[in-house]
Amino acid sequence: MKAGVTRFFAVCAAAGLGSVAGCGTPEAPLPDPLALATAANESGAPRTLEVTLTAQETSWDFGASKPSPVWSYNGTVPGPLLDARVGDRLVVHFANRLPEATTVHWHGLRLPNGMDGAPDVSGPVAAGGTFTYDFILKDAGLFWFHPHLRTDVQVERGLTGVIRVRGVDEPVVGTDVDEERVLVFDDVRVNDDGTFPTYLDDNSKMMGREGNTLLVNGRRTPTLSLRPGALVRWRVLNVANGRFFNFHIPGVSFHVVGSDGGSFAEPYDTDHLLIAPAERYDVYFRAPSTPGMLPLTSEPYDRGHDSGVRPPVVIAQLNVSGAAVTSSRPFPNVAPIASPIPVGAGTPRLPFVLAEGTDARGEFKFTVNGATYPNVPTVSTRVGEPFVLRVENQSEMDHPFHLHGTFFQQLDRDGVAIAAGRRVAKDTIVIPAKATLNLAANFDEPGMWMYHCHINEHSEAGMMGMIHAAR
Amino acid sequence: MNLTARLARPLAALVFAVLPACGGDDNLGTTDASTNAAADAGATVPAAPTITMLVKMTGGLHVSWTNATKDCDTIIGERKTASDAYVVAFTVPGAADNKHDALLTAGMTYTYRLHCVRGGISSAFSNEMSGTP
Repeated sequence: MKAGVTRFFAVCAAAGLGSVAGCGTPEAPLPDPLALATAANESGAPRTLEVTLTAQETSWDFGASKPSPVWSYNGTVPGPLLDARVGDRLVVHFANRLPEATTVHWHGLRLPNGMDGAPDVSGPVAAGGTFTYDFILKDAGLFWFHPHLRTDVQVERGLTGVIRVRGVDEPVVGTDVDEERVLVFDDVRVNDDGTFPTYLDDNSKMMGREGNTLLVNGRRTPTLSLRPGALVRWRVLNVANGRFFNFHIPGVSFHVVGSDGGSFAEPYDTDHLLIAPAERYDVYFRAPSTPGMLPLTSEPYDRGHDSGVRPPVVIAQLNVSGAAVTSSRPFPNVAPIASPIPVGAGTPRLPFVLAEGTDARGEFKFTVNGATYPNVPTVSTRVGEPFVLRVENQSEMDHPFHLHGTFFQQLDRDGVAIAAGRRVAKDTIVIPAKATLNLAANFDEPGMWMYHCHINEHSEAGMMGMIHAAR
Repeated sequence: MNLTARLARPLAALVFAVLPACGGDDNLGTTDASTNAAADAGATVPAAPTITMLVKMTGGLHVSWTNATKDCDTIIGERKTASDAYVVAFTVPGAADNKHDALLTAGMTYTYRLHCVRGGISSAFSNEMSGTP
């Protein structure tokens, strides 16, 4: 079905047939010039997605005077969209044609420990080397993949990709929703000549790299087309090293139905959607009924160290045009995916204290329980036994906390309980400055599972550790 | 994105002392930096950077500035205390616009100034700015 839809878009777009029956009707989604590349399925087996993924040096146009020397998966930034259904087997034949070692981490997926792409577990894939990742996609949601070695540099250079795992009862485009887009938000810092800076300044070390070029699906400040009145589903992902996006569209309210690997039992509406590095959100909104151009902006957000005073920045332009959609579809009902993880008085609590400081040389360091990785003591739990991560952020800025190998559900913040309808299955969550969150989790696979801040400069500067899940 | 702007905020809202040092501009034309510049009359003297902010952060002071000259080779930052003369605190690439000065004594007031070096020629010194970690 996807191939047919893609072909339809391509034909209509190439022919400029916006007003011809079948291409420009209110029922038909608009062509998506920002559609992500896909990877060909090499398998003939049922319920199997088998692809080749190559990390390679490529040129990519970020709008500088010359193309930038990026590192990419399969030649595009971001890399391909892997489209699958829950329960499918994913086989990825990975080849590393970069000049240095790398890994592929499957962010948010529950999988065997040796498939997780953690270099200290399964080892790096050397330059010129190969590795086959092979596992079952257990959960529906929007996930992504990226290196887990020199993550700050390799992700900044362009190594990201997306996995969309569809659930069994997902809204169907044309029936339940007028259009659906996967949008990867990023920023990159490039010099005027397209090269990447080699010097990392102290702002970037403290706050994470923030680029001078904002990207949507690898394109600089693109225009997204919407039909007036259309019910739109956006599945958004932030792959930036350090930038938090705080989305806003004038006159538009986002209906938030899910995040990471789960759906909210009680969706909520907001006119500002904050998305930290590595987070994903599943949102619906209705396009304005009046044609015109609208900016998609990122509004100020104070994530610490006086970062909230910057002006809004335009990420993309929305072009509301064409035939109006008159179907007035309601927001689809989305069933929550995860059941609450049972937590009681006897549930083990694992304390994690996040802090920032400087070392004896005056360099910033980011610590967990007073130490920097790999010297952070490993903590232990058991497969199938729920536990609570008590994450206390003593630093003066927010940290997006990511756990590998399983999901967690937020129980509370600073002792104030989270409503049951908001307990969604997350793998990355913002721990606000000076706040403490309790997160319930439960591993279903044994092994050494990493956790870390997903500001990549912070994890590389030490804010990372391991949890041992024993059988 | 202007990274200096990210840290900028109204001075009135700052929770620590940030005091532009009196007479900072008086240093122009009387320093080693400008002497170096004058030594090469045949080349263009780069313009001096401007310190825009001094922020207390993780026990140190975070200096932010704007570069009036785009192609400086290096930016050299100097600091002094009330009782000492200026010493070089840091040297960073010419495109940098911030530096964290970490190894300071809590409660002591430090004053900073910067200059740009391009092709061996130094700019005049920037304005001065003082703060206390």
